[in-house]
Amino acid sequence: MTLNSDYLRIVIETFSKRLKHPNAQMRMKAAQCLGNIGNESIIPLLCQALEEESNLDVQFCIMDAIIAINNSTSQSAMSETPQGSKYNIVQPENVQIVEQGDGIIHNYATPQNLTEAAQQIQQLLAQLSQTYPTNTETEKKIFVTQVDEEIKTNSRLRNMLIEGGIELIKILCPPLGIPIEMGRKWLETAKQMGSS
Amino acid sequence: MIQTPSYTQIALSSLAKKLDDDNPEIRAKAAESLGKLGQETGIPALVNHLDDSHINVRLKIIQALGEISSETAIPKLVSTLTDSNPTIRTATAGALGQIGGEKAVLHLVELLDYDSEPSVRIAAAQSLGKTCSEDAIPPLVNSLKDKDIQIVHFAGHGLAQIHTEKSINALIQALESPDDKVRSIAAESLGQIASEQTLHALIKTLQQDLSPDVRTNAVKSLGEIGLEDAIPALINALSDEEDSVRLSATDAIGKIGSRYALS
Repeated sequence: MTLNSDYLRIVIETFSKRLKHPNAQMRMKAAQCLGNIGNESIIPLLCQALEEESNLDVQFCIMDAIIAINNSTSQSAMSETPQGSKYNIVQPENVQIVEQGDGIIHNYATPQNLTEAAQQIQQLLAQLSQTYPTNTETEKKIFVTQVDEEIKTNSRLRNMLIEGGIELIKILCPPLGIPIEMGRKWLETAKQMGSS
Repeated sequence: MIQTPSYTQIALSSLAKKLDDDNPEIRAKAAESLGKLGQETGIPALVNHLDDSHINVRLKIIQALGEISSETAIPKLVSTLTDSNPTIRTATAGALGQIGGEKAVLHLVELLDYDSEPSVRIAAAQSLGKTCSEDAIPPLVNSLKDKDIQIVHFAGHGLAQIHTEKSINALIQALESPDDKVRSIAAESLGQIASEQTLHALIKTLQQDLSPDVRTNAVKSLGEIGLEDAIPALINALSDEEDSVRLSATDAIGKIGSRYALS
């Protein structure tokens, strides 16, 4: 019997949060539980946890879980689009899954043009973040302001933001560690300036 | 377009990274896990760590290479055949047995013939049988004459495992050996091969052999084979002068009887 994909997502989210629990025994149990689910989309999550984990026993459990999952899924089912199969989403290319620092997986179903817009803006933001890092809260604020300035001068960016709306902001902010509330400011700026 | 790596590849590279961990326990566990993953693409990372400073890590790497069972690992794997530690050489013999093939057999024969450590030679004999390769038959037949009874044991069972006409004939011939131990092991090994040919050879041994051990093993093997044609000979064996033969004959008749009763 397999879980309905919505429930599966919730279960994975819940357990993956526990992978970062301060108590090592909790982390071990979380790894074991994830291993028992046997869904191969969990593998990247476990690999990341393995790299960050310092406790010996927890590392053992994570490795066992990785092997358990890998050996429970047949080779032929190996997917070429890991992100899509993660939650049995029909059109993986229209979906972006963003894993935030808190271990929660957010997935946003987005139309194709939105994904493209997001990719273009992300490139721009990546360039900006080289000059303006986003490590501390202050740096993040400076970064948001800089992007704001960019929005004021770049009409193409404005158009993309207005068209994408809040859904686009939800895609852009998490990878940068910027709260969506702060990103909402960009959208407001774009709307104030209007499309041209 | 960048091709997305498969989940197995993600798992593999993550585990391979752990082969460089500071903690030998983690390195050993990573090696073991790569073995369980069973991917040929894991071989380069594993063989590159065959010089790990920690013996347990080396051991796990060798075992992992055996699990993956690919001949591509052999050229690097055999570097461990000259390791000063017999445990490592034993493990390598085991891995070569799992990998199998002509090259593995050659290396195993070398170990069997020249290694100074009895436990390593035993492992090599055992592994030769596991390869199930025809190439392993001559060295195993040769090993039936070995002074070490354990090597004779694995040689006999190895020949039975290989299970070809040539290896079966070799075992039947060994029933005529002047050495009691060799005949005894040949009789025991033939229990794994259910054929009319082995049945007749074993019945003949049961009726004619002077060694009680050999007759006992022949009776046991006839029970294992489980063909009803053995029953008259086994009933005769109930009046054998040796206790162990009579006892085993009772067991064997019971086994064959229940097998036919059930089918």
